[in-house]
Amino acid sequence: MGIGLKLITGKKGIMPDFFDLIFMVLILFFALFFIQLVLNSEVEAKTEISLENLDQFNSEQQFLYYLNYPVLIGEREIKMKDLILLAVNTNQEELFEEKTEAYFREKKAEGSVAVYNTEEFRQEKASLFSFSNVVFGSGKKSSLELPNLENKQIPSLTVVFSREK
Amino acid sequence: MNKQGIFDVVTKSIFWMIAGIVITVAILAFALIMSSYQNKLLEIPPELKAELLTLRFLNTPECFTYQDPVTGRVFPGTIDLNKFTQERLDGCYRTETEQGYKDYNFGIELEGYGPTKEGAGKILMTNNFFNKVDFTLYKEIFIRSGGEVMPTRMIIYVQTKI
Repeated sequence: MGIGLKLITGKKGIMPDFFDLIFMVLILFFALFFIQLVLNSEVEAKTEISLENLDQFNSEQQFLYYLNYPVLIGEREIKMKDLILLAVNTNQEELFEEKTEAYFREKKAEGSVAVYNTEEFRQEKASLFSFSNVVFGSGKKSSLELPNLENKQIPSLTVVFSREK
Repeated sequence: MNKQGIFDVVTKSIFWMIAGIVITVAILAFALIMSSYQNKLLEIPPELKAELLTLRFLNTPECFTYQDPVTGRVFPGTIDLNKFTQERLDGCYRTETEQGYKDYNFGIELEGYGPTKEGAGKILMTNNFFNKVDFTLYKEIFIRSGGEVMPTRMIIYVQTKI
């Protein structure tokens, strides 16, 4: 056996050590691959959380837009928030439903709106009025209190709004 | 040193030469992974950055937002149609003349409304907007023209960089 061949395949040659090396390389490769996978998924999760928070912010903006949306009552133009107060004070649920449905239809959007007496909302009781055109809602929920100065029995309303993406 | 000794030294040298290369590559790969992780971690999603930058178009009276001339009250989300002009946009958001194409640039459109009272041109553009739209933001807004308030949408075309 020549010295070169002995150097590679001999009992004390490189080959036995070489197998250890190849094994180590494989372990290193998989370890690095795994580390990268874990770190990347962590970054993706964090980005997703940021974008979800952004959705919450957009949902709040859309809620404010909904409350200030102009609606016609006969000849008179009022804002949706005033319509909600009017509907509660005069007990006209159908008026609230009609205008809210028109809003979602015009915006080609899906979502839900529920109006609560604030006291009852805190006690987790049922809503006074509600509208929804979604079966399974997954949109972010936003809520706001509307002071109702004209009705001493219900001095404050809580409106809960959600809109699907 | 006898023959066996020389043989051991040579095999060890060859082994460690190859092992050295492998270990170096592994260390470099690890460093690269960590550095790319750090970069990704610090990266702000472009949607978030664009949202933050475009807030000014909707909420500041120095841009297009309506401000009551008597009380001074600002109406966020309500655009004064008289303010919706190119000069106003140039004063409100401007990128560097030379390298500004690397920054975020915007094309802004009011659905159903021209940028001027005469309706000349449809989209207002920041100074380095070259119609390379990366994504679009839709903002529901109110437009105030005269005494009237009308609901519409502001469409913001975002160019992140060229």
